[in-house]
Amino acid sequence: MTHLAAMSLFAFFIAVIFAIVTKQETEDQVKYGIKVFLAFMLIGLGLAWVMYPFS
Amino acid sequence: MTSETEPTPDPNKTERPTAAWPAPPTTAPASGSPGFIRIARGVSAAVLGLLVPGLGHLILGRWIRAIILLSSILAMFAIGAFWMEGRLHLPNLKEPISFFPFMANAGMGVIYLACYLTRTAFAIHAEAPTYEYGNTFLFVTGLANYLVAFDAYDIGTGKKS
Repeated sequence: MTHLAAMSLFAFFIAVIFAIVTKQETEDQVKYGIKVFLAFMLIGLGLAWVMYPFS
Repeated sequence: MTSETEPTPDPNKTERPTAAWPAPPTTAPASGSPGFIRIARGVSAAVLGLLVPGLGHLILGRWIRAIILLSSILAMFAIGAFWMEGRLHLPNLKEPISFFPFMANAGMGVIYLACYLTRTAFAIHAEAPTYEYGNTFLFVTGLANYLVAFDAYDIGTGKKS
């Protein structure tokens, strides 16, 4: 399993749980879930890119 | 001098001063009051949700949420424990810091207990490349179930719909 796959799985499941716990309506849950998933992925990739020169 | 509009106090009649004597309760006793029932429903949903992920939502009638939450938590647990070869932690009194990973893992409730009784996922596979990822999945799974249990409490008490 690659780092990216592990991070994607983690982001997906946590986004689902966060969306269901924090939002009431289905539409809001879908929007918030996508937002959280993308935030996890973009922040993870951004931090990886920042840390890459020091690896 | 007494004005005509003010009633003369009757010395034979003892009236309770309104400020010092509170009105008798007109509501039901505390054990049957709506507030008590709401809190009891929220606490029971939270406790059941801690024992089995999603069970708190299920008894509150949120069965779609319960199924999705149970599926997500079980999937994260299975991926962390069996695919990524992470491990569950036990508390060690000689190392108090081990209490924190134990509390995170113990959020899985009966699943953690079942793993403990069957000695499943307690072995250390540090040689596996995904060992630390698996540990992280298992920590976050238990912590997410605490969050789900709090959500069940809020729904049970009526703070959320």
